[in-house]
Formats: sequence, structure tokens, C-alpha cells
Amino acid sequence: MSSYDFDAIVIGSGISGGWAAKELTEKGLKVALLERGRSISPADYLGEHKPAWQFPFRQLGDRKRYERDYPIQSTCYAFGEPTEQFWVKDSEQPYGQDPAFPFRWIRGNHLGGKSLMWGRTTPRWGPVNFEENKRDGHGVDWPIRYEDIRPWYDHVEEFIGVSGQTEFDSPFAPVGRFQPGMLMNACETFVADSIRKKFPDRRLTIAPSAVLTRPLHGRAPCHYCGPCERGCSTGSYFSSISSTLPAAKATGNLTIITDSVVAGLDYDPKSRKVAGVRVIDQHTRAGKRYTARIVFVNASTLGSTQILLNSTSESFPNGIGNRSGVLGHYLMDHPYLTVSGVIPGMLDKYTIGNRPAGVWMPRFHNVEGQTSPFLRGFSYEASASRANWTDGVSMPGHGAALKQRLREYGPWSFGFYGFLECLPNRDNTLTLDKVRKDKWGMPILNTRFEWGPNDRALAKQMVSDATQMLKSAGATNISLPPEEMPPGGFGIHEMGTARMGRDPATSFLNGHNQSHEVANLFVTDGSCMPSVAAQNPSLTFMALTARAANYAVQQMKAGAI
Amino acid sequence: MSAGFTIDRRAFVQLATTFGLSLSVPCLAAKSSAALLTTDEWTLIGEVSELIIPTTDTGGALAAGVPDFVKMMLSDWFNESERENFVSGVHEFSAGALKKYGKNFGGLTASQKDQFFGELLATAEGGATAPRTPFVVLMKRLTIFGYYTSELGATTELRQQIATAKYQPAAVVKPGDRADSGLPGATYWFNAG
Repeated sequence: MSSYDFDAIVIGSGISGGWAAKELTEKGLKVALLERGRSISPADYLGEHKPAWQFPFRQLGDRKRYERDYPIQSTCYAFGEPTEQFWVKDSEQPYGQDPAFPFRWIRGNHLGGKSLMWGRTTPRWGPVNFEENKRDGHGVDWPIRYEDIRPWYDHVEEFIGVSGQTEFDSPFAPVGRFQPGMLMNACETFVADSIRKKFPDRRLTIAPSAVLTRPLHGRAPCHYCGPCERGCSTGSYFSSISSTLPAAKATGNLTIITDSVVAGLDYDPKSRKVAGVRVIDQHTRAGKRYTARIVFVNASTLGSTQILLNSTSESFPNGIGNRSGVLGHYLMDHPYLTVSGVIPGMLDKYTIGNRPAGVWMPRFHNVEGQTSPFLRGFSYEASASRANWTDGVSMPGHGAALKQRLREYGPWSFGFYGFLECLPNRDNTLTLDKVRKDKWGMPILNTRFEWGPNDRALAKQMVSDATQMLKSAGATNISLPPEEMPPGGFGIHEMGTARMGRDPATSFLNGHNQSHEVANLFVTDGSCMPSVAAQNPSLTFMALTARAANYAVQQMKAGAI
Repeated sequence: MSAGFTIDRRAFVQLATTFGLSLSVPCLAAKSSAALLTTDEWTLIGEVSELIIPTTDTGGALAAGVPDFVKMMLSDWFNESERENFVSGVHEFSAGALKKYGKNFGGLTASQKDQFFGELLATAEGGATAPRTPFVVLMKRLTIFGYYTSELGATTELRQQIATAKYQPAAVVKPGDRADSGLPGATYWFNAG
């Protein structure tokens, strides 16, 4: 023990890295948590509760600076004047895109990572999601099944606090250990009822969401201010800062090391293990090396893959543990497409409070085996709200009459945001640039991503189903997404480039998120996923991380690592 | 809907796809907006904003500081081409008033001002095609955005409740209730084109 700096090193402090740190420290390990960005505390939630007039650009943001420094990040819905401190400057940290097959890499490099700005919808995956790769042959078979992960879903939900409904138990969203769910508003309830009359198998409910409705571990229930991505001083939504890092710190076993960019992992061919982690100070660029008995890589799908690819040695010239050659292949994301309409009526109803959870509809295609002309399916997030003053520009006229109209609520509008299950494709890749390096001397990451024919077929079906459902609720002014699908990355559900599997020849990790080749190397962020299902993935990242961390500790205690 | 400047959080991503195409336009150095227009023209901006959102039982655009918002947007947010379009729009608008009434806009009666602006806006909103967004439409967008994101517009004209502690999914609208100005998501959108 004494020859190592730490028992464990966790690289990355976002959703999965925070979980690795919590589990490992609670099991008694001395853990170093490496974060490439700066430290964050609730004092950094600069936009929280701040009204528009207190921002220099009234929440429009400094457009010219954004065009120069944030051309990619500013395309994310959660980016803006109240949140801009949480995003990577694209101008300072470039990556490559294939012009014909672009990929938008949305990044938050600071303590807590994207857990500060995430969307918080946390459905479980269902049994079918772990079986479908085997059934239809797309992607390698998952090395685990639902029953393997089920107790870890319980464990994670109870700790992070997930509010959700418990009446409808979908095979694609099993009911979990939920706090009471938030409430659907008048219009959402009406649309849900209308859909159910016409399509009995389609259920619109409040989404399971990592926002508290009951106090938990010193965190307060939601106060309904709305835009969680500005940060939450009451810790009401789950983030590493509100939840896992305080728990890890409380053990006394955690050392947080910020501003440390991981350049690569050193491999020792004698022990066949990771021998050390090389870091570069993000400001001084001074190099340093840390050692530990085990290493968890949780730097986000693209970040982790970049580190692993850049960890070359005589034994592994194409990246540590990459004997199979799959590292950097099979990049996936959820395309999401919006269909919305105006729902007449209910003009005497409105909402008080800004609810931070959406409603959603679990997948309803190919539920009992393969019954649709396409593979797999899609789910919807959705929400309804009443129009307000922002509709004023599309109303004719001016003067007192216009002012009076904008004083009153406008009609209800309802939006469906479809999330499609994208199939794994070997040609969707991450590679290291052979020439260009970032300011820390790391080769920059190049991306190449395209949607496949099944993804496109799902998109068409999703738009058509959403349109029919809106019509069943009497919607008018139905607005459809552009024909051309958005580039990959917009779902911010990037996954798959260091996938799990049963066969070391076709996968990077085994069923415990452990490298097939390097016994003390674990990867438990989105890069580990052999498929993406049609559910939001972060809860599954957390459950896999907790499961892997407990396995790693068992293996250490048994002397196997 | 093309004139909109706000969108819901998820839909933003789709519009952003389109927006992304224009992100590489090089930004030109901001000019001081005070120098872009004469004092009289700035007075005109204020008068036009007040025509769009007038003082009623609550303060209007002038009381909400809309002209200062327009100055900020012109100098710091609009790009060079948008700024040129706006400035030439002001000149055209002034010249139009002079031609029609034989007087500067500032010298017209209140009802003449309202009629002149109203006719131009009605033409623009009636589907008339124009190579660039007309001045009257830009002023309407700027005024509405500037007014309802001001403290006066958001909290006196409308109602603002930032953290309600409870969520009421089907509250009943009572006569005289004012709409919530909302604490929107991170991003607004403005079309200065």
C-alpha cells in the first residue's frame, strides 16, 4: 500500500466520477479525484434567481464573444448569459469535426462537470434494453442483464433522490425507489387523457427526475424557480456538488485535485496494470504523476476515450487496453426532434411555479418483440406551457391594445421532444489528430458521426406519431422539425466508444466495466455503453459506476487486483 | 413564427442547427451607438418605442428605459450589417415622415406619429416582402424585448414569482390577473436580421 500515492484514482468529477469517488471512499479507500477544470462551489451559481434585467445583455448574452469563444457550446439549450461560466471555451480547447459528418461536443470542464447543467430526467432502462443487441445483432451483447443492475438502480435512486410517478410500470421505465412525483399541469393532463383514449398503449406521465420533492441528506425539496442549469444553492437537483462529493468528503478519504489535465495512463507490462496517471497543471503546465492500485476513468465519453487513446506503450500502441481495436469506435447519441402544437381551451388555467421536471412517454414500438418495420424505438419528453409576452412580436399591431393582450396569458402549447435509439455503427469514430495538439500538448480529438438508415426511419415515425397524438388532443398550428436531422451530439447523450461486452475481441470492457486487458483499469462513464436505448442514460451510468466500484473493492480485498 | 425571439429549451437545439451556419461571420468592432444617430434620431427612437408600448395604467417603454436598451443592442449586440440596416431604416423613416407631412417626425402631432408608424408597421406585417427587416419591425422587437425584460415590465406590468416553493399545476385565472413574466431558461433568442 505505502508504495502508492492513493488506493484509487478517479479521473473526472461529473455524474459518474462523483459516484466512483463516493462509493470507493465509503468502502474505505483513499481516493484522489482528478478534475481538469477549476473548483466549483455554490458561490459560483452566479445566475441563480437572477432576473433578466440584471444581466448586461438581458439574457441574450454577449453574442460576439459567444461567436468567437463558444461557437459549439452556445448551440446547447442550457448555454446562455446565466450559465456561461459552466462551459468550455471552444476557442481554447478545439476538437476536430469531419465537415461532412459533424459532431457537436458539449463540454463542462469544472468540478462537477455536466452534472451541474444536465437535464435531470432519470428513467431506468428496462430488461429489453439489455437484450436487444443480442436479439437483432446490432452491437455486441450486453454482458449484463436488468437483474444485474436492478439493485444498483435502487441504490442510486435512494441516494440521489428521484421524484417520479409509481402508477404506470412500463417495461421501458420500471418504477423505481421514487420520491413523490411532481404534478402534470392542466394541459398535460388533458393531452395525456386524449392520447390514452385513442392509443391505449401510450402513456404520458411526469418524468422520473433527479429533483427532490422531499428533503434528503441535508438537501431541500425543490422551490420551483425553474432553470436548474444555473445551479441550485439548496442542492435540490442532483449534481456531484450537491450530492456525491459531499458524501465522499465526509468519509475523510477524499483528495480533490483540480486544474489537472490527465495526459495519459502509464502501463506496466510486468504487472499488466496501470502504473501511474500523468497530469498537467492546466495553468502552469507543470507535469506530475500519481499512482494508485486502481484507476477509474470517468472523464466523459469523449474525454475518457481521448485519454485512453493517448495512453500508448509498446504493449498497447493503439491505446491502453485496446487490443480489440474497438476503442474510439461506435460513437452514439440520441437525436432529438421537436414537434409542437397549440392546444385549444383551458384558458382559465395556468401554473404557479416553474417545474423543473418534464413529462414523458416511454417507448411503445416493438414492445412485444419485433412488430414494427424498423428496429427498436423512441421515447418522448414533453411539456406544456402558456404563451406569454414573448409571442408579442408575432402579433400584429402596436400600442395600448398590444400591451393589454400581452398582459394576459396566451394559449397553451404542447411540445413533444422525441429521443430516438441510435444503432451502433463502427464508422462513427473518435480518433487522435496526428498533427494538431491542444495547449497542454495532447493530440486533439477528431470526430466523425452520421445517422444510419434505421435512425432516419425512427425519426420519420417519431414525427408522424407525435403529430397524430397532438391531433388527438385537438392541436392546431402543428410545427414539425426540419427534414434534415441535427448533427450528432445535440442530444448530449454521447456514448459507446469503450464499450462493454463478453468477448475481448469485440469489446473494451467486461461486465464489471473492467478492462479486458488491464485488471486495475475501470471505465464507467457513457463510453462503456454497448447501446443507447431510448431512455436518458445518466441514471444507468451511475448504477454501473456504483456496481463497478463495489466489484473493484471486492477484487482488491480478495487480492485479485 | 420566424420573428420570435424566445423558444423553449429543447426546441432551441433545432433552431441552433440553423444558427450554427452563420456563427463563423467575423465580428467587427463595436461602434459607439451614440455616434450612429443624431440626438433628434435618438429622440425619435424613444418616441417610437413609446408608440409600441405606451404608458397606460403602468409605465411604458420610455419609463422602462427602452432607448438605453436599444443603444446597448446597437453598439454591442448587432453586427455591422444589422447595424447598417437599422441606421438606414431610421433615415428612411425620418425621410418618409418629412415627405408625407412636410415636417420632421418630431414635429408631428401625437395622432400623426401613431398613424405614420402604424401604417408602416401594418404594411410590413401584412406580408410585404423586403430585402431586410424593416425598421418598424426591428423597433417592435427591440421594444417588446427591452420592455418585458426590464424590472418595470417584468414585475409591475406583468407578475414575476421567482421561487414559489409550491407548484400549482392548474391554478385558476381570475379577472385582472397579469401573466407571469417568468424566469425563463438560460437562453433568449433575438432576430436582428
